[in-house]
Amino acid sequence: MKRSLLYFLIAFGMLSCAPKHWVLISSETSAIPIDATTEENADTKMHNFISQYKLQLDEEMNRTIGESAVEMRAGKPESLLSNWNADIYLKSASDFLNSAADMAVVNLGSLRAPIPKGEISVGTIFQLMPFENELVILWLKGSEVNKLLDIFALEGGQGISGVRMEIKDGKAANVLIQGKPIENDKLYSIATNDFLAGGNDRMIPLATPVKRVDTGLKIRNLIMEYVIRETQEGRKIQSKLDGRIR
Amino acid sequence: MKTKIFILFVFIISSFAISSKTTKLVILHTNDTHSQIEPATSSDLGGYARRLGVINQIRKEEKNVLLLDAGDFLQGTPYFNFFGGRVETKALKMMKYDAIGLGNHEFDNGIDSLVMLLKTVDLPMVNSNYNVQNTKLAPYLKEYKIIRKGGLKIGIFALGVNLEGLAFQKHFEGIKFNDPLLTAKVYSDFLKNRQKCDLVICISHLGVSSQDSSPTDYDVASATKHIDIIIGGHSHKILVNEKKKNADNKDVIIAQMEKSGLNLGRIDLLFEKR
Repeated sequence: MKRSLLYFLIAFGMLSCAPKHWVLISSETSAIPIDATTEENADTKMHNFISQYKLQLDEEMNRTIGESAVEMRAGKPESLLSNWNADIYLKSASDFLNSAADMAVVNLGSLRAPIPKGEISVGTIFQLMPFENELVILWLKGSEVNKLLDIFALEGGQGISGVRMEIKDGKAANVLIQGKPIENDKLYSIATNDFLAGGNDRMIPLATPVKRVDTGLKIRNLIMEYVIRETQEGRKIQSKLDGRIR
Repeated sequence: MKTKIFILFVFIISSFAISSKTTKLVILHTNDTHSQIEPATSSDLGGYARRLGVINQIRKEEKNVLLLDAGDFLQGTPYFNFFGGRVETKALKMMKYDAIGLGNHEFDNGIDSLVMLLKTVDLPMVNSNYNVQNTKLAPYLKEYKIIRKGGLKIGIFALGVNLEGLAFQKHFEGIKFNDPLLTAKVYSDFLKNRQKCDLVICISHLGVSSQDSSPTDYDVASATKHIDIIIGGHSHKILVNEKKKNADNKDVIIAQMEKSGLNLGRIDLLFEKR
């Protein structure tokens, strides 16, 4: 009798366990906005943890590294900000190569904020260039460079250095590179960033260079170093419209 | 005799417990938070302290809460540039994430830098399709994770995007990229059929747009049979109430929360024992 009860219990136990499992019967998905109303319940420990870093960061971001003589903004066909940036690309590439690079290309879209007249802080440069892009040097044949400049002409302008061109009927005309007429078969070295070197922003010809060198130098650091160097040499930051794109 | 009464007691209790119940699970999720430590200045949305406040509140209200992140928690504000990810990783630890997938931006300073961060802060990093055996990352990544909550056995695996073109080659040297679809099939089958998980979650940084990557989260859902939920990222999209049929014509929830932690994703799941 006792034994059969035990068998019964074992059998019952197995039956009640075996086929049962969790089945999902309903689901609901939502997005909770982390808006200003959540501020009052914000976690104090986290807030304090962040504060110590924020203090250091603000101090660094507010550090003045130079002074700009003019307000610089990005625009077409050429602009103070894009000319200044493209010139820094060209100079940095020449420094890297230890010989003069031919030209530089910067997309206007990458210049995220103007440089105001007056003090330039670390934060100013971060606002101008929040991305981690790096300087890349590409070698393209003149015929390909012409295609690229035609795209710029169609767009009404871009950030360039080392090049002078006119926009005629939506095409690049009278193109001079380092003061000399462009030659279809000649190889030109072009300073740009890794984003554009991928052919992004419609700069398709840049994606198929004859040769490519990744410098590993961050664009932001190059801009910052340039400002610091100019300041050390007692100069204000300058830029001018020189008719490189007309 | 005493033991028999005890056995009887145990059986009655356990069979009662087994036959009765429903259980609830709340999954909270973020993706592509991109070093947005303070609220974003443009929208006044997001911020770590606010996020943790909201999470704490939900943890008070709900018994079974799972907190997941789908990667790209690094890069995007000067905090990352200056502190190299120390603030982000420590904060993730403070928020008590249960599992975190790897995004492409976790490799922005290279494997060595990521290893330094993970050496300092013990984070529940999961990835199933990067073969990292020959890299220093190996001790810091789990291929999958099993978590028990509310009587549920939850299996989690994670997919990373192909780093080619998204990170510098030298920054992910030595990592072998395994096919996400094949990996998803193997791990979802393993977690469901071998480990007998009640719920299988795929954390993914593949994205939902074919422009972002191939395959996408939709491809993963439709190619597999045992994934219940995909916690996604990479595309910076808000996906709420998004479902895709799997290979057995069952619904797979695909969720994603835009970027920068502007929103916290929430999925409420109700289970019944049948």
